[in-house]
Amino acid sequence: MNAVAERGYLLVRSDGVLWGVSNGDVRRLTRQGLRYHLEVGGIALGVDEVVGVVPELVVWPVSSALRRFWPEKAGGLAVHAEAPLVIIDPRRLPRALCIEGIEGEIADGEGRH
Amino acid sequence: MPEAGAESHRRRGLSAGSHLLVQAGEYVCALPLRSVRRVLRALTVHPLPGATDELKGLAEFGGEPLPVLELARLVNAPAGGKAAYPVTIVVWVGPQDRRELVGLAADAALEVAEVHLHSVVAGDGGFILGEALVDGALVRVVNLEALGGEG
Repeated sequence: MNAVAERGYLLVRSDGVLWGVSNGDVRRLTRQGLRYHLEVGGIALGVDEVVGVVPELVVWPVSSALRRFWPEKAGGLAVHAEAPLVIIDPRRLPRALCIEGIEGEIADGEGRH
Repeated sequence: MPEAGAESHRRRGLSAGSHLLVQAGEYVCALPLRSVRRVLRALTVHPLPGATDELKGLAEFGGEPLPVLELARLVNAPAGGKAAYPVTIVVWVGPQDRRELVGLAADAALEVAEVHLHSVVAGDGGFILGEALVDGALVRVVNLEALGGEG
C-alpha cells in the first residue's frame, strides 16, 4: 500500500492500545505476515491491526499528570468510538511500536539521530 | 444534648473540610470533596505501554480521554481483598490555575466525612498530605494538588 491520503488520521492497534497517526505523516503501509509496518518519520513501526481512517479527531494535549507517569512522548490524546487513543508524534515515536533493532536510531526530542 | 462525631457532621452539611472517603487497598483515603467531580462505576481502562505502576491507563469520560491512576499504588497501600464495587473517582488535580482531570481507581467509595486540616499530621510531602482520625479510624488525606505537576 502507498502512503495514505493527506487528510485525516490512520488508526492502528498494537498490544491492545489504539494509536492515531496523521495521514500526512505516513510514508508507507505494508503487510508483514500477520502484522503491519508503517513508515513514519523515516522509522518503521510495527502494529497488530489497522483499524481504519477517520477524517478528523479532536486532539487533547497530554496532561502533566499523565506525563508524570508515562514517559513516552505523544502528539496528544483523542477518543474514537468511545475508546481513548494516543496520537503519534512523528518526531518522537513511541518505543513500544518501533521495530526491534532500530530503536537506537530513534531521534531525540530535537529530531537529532 | 450535643450530637456525637459523624452524625453531627452529616447534619451540618458540606464544608471546606468535607472529604470523600474511599477504600484503596487496606487504606482509607480522604479526597477533598471540592476536587471530586464524579464517582463512577469503574471505567474501562486501556493500559499504556511503558507506564509506571501508578498509571492504570486511559479511559473515556464524557467524550474525552482520561488518565486513570491506581490510588492504592499512589499511597503505597498494602493490597486489600478483591473489590466488590470498584469505582473510578474523577477528580481535579494540580494547582488551581492549571488544574486537570484524572481518574482515581479505588476499591470503593465509602462516605463523606469532615476532616479538619489542622488535625492532619505526618505528611510525607508527596501525595499523602497526612493522616487524620475520622470517627476513631485512621485515614490518609490525599494531596491532589501534588498530583498534577511534573514529578
